[in-house]
Amino acid sequence: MPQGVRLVMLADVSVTGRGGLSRRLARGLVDQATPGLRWAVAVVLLGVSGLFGGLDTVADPQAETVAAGTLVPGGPWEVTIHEAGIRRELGKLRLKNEGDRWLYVIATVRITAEESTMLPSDLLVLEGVTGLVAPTPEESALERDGSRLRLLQPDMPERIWFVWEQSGGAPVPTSLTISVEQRTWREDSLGGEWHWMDADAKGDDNPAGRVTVPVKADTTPPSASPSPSAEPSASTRPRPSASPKPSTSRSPSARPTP
Amino acid sequence: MKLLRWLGSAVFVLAALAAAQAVQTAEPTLNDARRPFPVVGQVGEDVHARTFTARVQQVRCAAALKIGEHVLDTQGVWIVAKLRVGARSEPTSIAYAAARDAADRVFQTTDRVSLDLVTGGLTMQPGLPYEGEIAIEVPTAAAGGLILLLADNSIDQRLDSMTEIPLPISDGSACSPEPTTLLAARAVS
Repeated sequence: MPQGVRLVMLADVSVTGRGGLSRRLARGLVDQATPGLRWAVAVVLLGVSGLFGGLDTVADPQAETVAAGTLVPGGPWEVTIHEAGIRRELGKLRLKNEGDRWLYVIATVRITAEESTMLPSDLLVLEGVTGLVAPTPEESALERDGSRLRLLQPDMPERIWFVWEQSGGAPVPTSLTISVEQRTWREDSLGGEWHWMDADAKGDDNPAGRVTVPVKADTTPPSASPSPSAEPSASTRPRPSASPKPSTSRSPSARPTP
Repeated sequence: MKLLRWLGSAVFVLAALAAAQAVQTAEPTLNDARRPFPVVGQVGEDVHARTFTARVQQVRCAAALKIGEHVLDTQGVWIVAKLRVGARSEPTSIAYAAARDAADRVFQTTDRVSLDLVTGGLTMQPGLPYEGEIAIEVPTAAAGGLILLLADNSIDQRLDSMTEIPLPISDGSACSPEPTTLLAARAVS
C-alpha cells in the first residue's frame, strides 16, 4: 500500500469518529507500521508484560512425589517425613473403637514464617487409605516430651508424631502416600492485608509435595508397648525412639517458687 | 513525523505505567498501615499500654524449665521475664506476649506450660496488680537483642497499643545450663 494511502486512511479514521473507530484505528496503526516496527512493538509489549509478572516462573502444578527423608517446603513451613507405622497401643491414647489401630507418621516440621505458627489440622493428608475414623489426625504431639502440638516457633524444628485411628476391618497399608499441604503469602481479597493463605479462595490448592513411605508394622505385643506419660519427661536429652505422649490434661502450670 | 508522535505516546504510556508500579511498590502495605502502636519502655519502669500497665522486673535465660517435677528442655533457650502488670481503668487481660528478635522473627510465649499471667485467661481488675513470670522459647542465637511485646488481644493486635520492652540479654550461649523455676501469677497487695 502506498505511503500516501496509509496516511489518508489514518487521517480519515481520526476525523470521522463514526462506528468501528477502534477497529479502524488499530487497522490503520498496523498498516502504518513497518515489519521492523512491528517486531519492536512486540518486544516492547513482552517487556511490559515482564514488568508486571508475565514472565515469572510458574510452579509446576503437579506436586512432586519424593521419598521419606526429603524436605518438602510448604510456604510457612518445611516438612520432612521420616517414617510411618501401625500400633495397637500408643501411650495413653484411647481408640474410639476397640479393634481399631493407630496409624502414625513421624515428621520434622520447621517454621519458616517470621512468627509462631499453629499448624493446620490438614497439614498431612493420607492418600488412598481406607477406614480412617477422621481424615485429620486424632492427635499431634511433640516427640521431645509428648506435649500436645499447638504453637511452633520460627526456626525451631520439632519432630512430631501425627496419629490417625484406622478401622480394624480396613486393609493394613504397606506404604503410605502422604501429601503435604502448603500456604501462599498473598493479599487477602477481602481485607487487603497479606497473610499465609490458600493459593485461592476455594482452598483446593495442590499439595506442596507427596511423600511415599513404607509402613512399619508393630510386632510387639500390646503389653510391651511404650507407656508414655501424659506429663513432660524429666529427661533433658532428646529421645528419638520415644513414642509420643499426647497430654490428656492441660499443660503443667507454673508453680510458685519457694 | 506521525511515527515519532506514535512512539512518543507509547513511551509516555510506558513511563506512566512504570511510575504507577513504582508508587504501588513503594507505598506501605495494609499490614504496615494497621500494625500495632508501639509503646516503648525499659526494664524496671512502668510502660502504659491503652488498657494495662506492665513493668519488666527481671529477666534471665536458661536451658530448661523446671515445673514441679517436670523438666522442659528446648533446642534453644528459655527466656524468663518477671512481670508486674495491672489493668488501667477497666478489667482486662494480657492475652498476647511474645519476643521479637533482631531478624524480626516473633516468638510467642510457650504453650508447653500454662502461663496464667498472660495467656491463661487471668482478668485483672484496676488497682489490683499481679506479678508473675512468663517463658518464651527462642533459638540460642536469637536470645541477644530481644524485645518483649505485650498486648491485650491474643488474636488481633492491629491498630492497638503494644508494649515494646528491650530485654537485657546479650548472649544466649551464656544462659544458665541449670533448669529454672517459674513464679506463678499472684496478686500483689
